[in-house]
Amino acid sequence: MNPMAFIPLTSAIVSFVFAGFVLKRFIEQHHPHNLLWGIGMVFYGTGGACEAYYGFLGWNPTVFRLWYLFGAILVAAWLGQGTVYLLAKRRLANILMILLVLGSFYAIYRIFNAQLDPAQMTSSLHTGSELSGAAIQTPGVRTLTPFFNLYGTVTLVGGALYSAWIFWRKRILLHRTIGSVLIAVGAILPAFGGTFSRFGIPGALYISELLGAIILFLGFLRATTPIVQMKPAVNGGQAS
Amino acid sequence: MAPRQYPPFFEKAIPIAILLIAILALTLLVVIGVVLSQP
Repeated sequence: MNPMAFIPLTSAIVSFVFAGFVLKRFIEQHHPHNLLWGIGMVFYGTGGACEAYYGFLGWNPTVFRLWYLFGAILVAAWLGQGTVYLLAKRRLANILMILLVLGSFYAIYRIFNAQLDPAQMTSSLHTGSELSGAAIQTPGVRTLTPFFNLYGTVTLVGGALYSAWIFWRKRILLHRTIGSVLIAVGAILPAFGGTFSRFGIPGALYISELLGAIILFLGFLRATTPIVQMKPAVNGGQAS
Repeated sequence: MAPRQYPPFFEKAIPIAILLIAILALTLLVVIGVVLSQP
């Protein structure tokens, strides 16, 4: 058992709790961005759970495929698609949604037909302490990941920064401004972690994913909880 | 009527944070681009 596995286990728990909050909001308000963020956080949690499984119980090809599909390829793009529904015109969002669904099915097909070699995760670049896409042997499968993550980073981080900028310029809804900045930070952390992991830096992926999940959650809570203004006390501060 | 203002800390911190995150995101996009361009 690898004690590092407690880090993705914590990420998974945080992500599933977060997903529960967002999906509850979707059930109450029926906004598609909440549904997509909820699905995205379920993907995030699934990725963490697969990493924890690998750390506690070892290699399993199905768990690896689920990890690569949900944790490495789909999570950022589906979260970003939620932001697209929040900020873009519905028609454009619907077109991008269709493309994302088609791309996701293609990714499922490619990953579940890919040849795997777990020995490659302990090559000179990778220590084998954490899951790595290096185990995928079929050419062209790993090439899919940057396209999905490019879309996810631009839409999720870009959308959060755009929202924060608009709110700041108008000096309105401070809680949403702070929440949007936190969401941008939380979204960019796992993207960096994944990139560092690709260059063989151990620990970067799991730690950045945990921090990302926590900061995303805090950002969501901040953005959806208005700041209560302290009103000046009347009559010299005496309570009535 | 005076223009609306955030508390002083947020007046300064938010644009700096937005700028820093944007620079980091652009750096990341360049790195992803480099990864994509590898054979």
